[in-house]
Amino acid sequence: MPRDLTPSTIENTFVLKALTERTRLDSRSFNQLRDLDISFSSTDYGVVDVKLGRTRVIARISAEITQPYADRPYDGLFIISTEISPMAAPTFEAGRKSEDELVISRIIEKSIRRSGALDTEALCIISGEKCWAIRADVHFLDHDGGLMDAACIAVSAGLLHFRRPDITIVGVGSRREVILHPITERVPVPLAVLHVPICVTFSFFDVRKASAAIAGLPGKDNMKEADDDDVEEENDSSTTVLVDATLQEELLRHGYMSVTANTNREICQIQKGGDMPVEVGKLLSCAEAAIMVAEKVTKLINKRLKEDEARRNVGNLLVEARAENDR
Amino acid sequence: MTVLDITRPSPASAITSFLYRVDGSASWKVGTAHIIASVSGPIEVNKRDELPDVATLEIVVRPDVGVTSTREQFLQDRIRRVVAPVIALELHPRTLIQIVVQIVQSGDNKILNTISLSASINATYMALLDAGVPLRSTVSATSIIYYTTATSDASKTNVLVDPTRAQLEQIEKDITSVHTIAYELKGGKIERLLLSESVGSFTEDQVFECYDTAANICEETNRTMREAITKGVQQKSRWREA
Repeated sequence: MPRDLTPSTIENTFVLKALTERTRLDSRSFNQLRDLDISFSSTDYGVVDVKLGRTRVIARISAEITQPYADRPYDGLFIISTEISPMAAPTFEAGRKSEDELVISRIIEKSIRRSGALDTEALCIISGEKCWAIRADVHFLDHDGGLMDAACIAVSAGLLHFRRPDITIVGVGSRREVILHPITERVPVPLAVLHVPICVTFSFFDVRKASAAIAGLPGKDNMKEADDDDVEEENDSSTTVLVDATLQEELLRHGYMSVTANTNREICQIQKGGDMPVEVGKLLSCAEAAIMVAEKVTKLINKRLKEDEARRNVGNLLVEARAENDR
Repeated sequence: MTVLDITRPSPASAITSFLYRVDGSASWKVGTAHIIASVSGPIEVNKRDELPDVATLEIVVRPDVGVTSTREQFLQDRIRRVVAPVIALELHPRTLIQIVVQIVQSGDNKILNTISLSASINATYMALLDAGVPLRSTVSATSIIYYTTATSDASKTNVLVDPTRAQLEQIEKDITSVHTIAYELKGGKIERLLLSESVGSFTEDQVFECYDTAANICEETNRTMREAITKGVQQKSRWREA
């Protein structure tokens, strides 16, 4: 079926054989991320274009004033939408949620919303009556693995980039009115982002299973001897861990773990899936690795944000608008 | 008919072939609008959607913000009306041609759809070209907006072609009519009218004036498309020179 993503047996065995020889098809090292490119729109706030290798994702952050939920009068709303269209890959059907989509949606929810990356109390305008509803729409343009990771980076960067219109509350009591200032009148206000969650996915391969898949192929004598002696001594060598898998690697993996971390060395969420048990030491070192990736990626986001601000801030007009004292 | 002398406020720019999982992709930017369209096809079709003598055409429109609403349904319908007669569907029966239009930045304000529509048609057409889907002719679309100015001559109407959102915001309250026009072109010249969507209050003269203006703009848009395609093909064929 051409609409099915499953690669051919030849491709599968090639990738697995390369792994047993400690090689990835794009010659990255096992813990190396693909080239990450983050760009912001020069015209609108909150439009982020993230390219992670060939995977491409656009996030749009928008704000609207609405009524808060009755049971949470002091909180604003924050909604994340991660619908995948057939543009990402023809296997995704418009209007039908695939399994992948459910997993991605759940992990993004836990990583960003549930971890409190956005302070919803700061979104309250008049308690019980008016609040800001912040919406993050993630558009998946190209699927080459790591949709979760790219989406998380895009939404986090978007929340940092977005500016909502400034408001003033006039009047007292029941006669209170909220004045919304257009961006042309008053400098828009950034959101209260408490931490920057970055998701990293680790893919697990059972080397013994992989070797068994390749066994029986012509030329197996050329293959490196599977570490039969070592297997009994160190279980570690039977598990290969790849960081940031491409689609091909994703389709072949035996298990995965998504870790969302931030620069405060906090783990926001962990999700382990697939059918492969992995020993604890490996998982803990993955979590450590995730924190290092989070630091790197957050640094890149901040760098790009600064560049974007410099582009917008020609003539240093925004500096005049700020009331902060230099410290 | 008088042809209005309009200087197009912002040039359009297009990029093609940047998505890897689909057969064709195009990005169309005009003013503040940015639309990305992708085409996969002919590909396998679900048994229930299969048509015995022609290809099935599926068009999905995704909004920039918010959930899919009737606005996207409207855009999808109009894009289909323009594009379906131009694709040689009978060449690929029992297959699917799947078009996805992702609005990245709509360029419209809350009540208008015209800029999203014309930009989506242009993006879709370029994506179809990039995917190599058999087409009968060239298509291009444009948006024309009439508005009054609060000058001493209150009856004077002005025209904007493919305006930016800033311009739209300026004239928002004075818009009298909005026209989205798509033409079919052969050899770079206008052949037939494919779409004429007019909303608002306007005279018959204004409509015909619109058609003439749109004819010139669409021919220019066609030239822009040609340049983008030429660049794309040169990029793809660079291995020949090595």
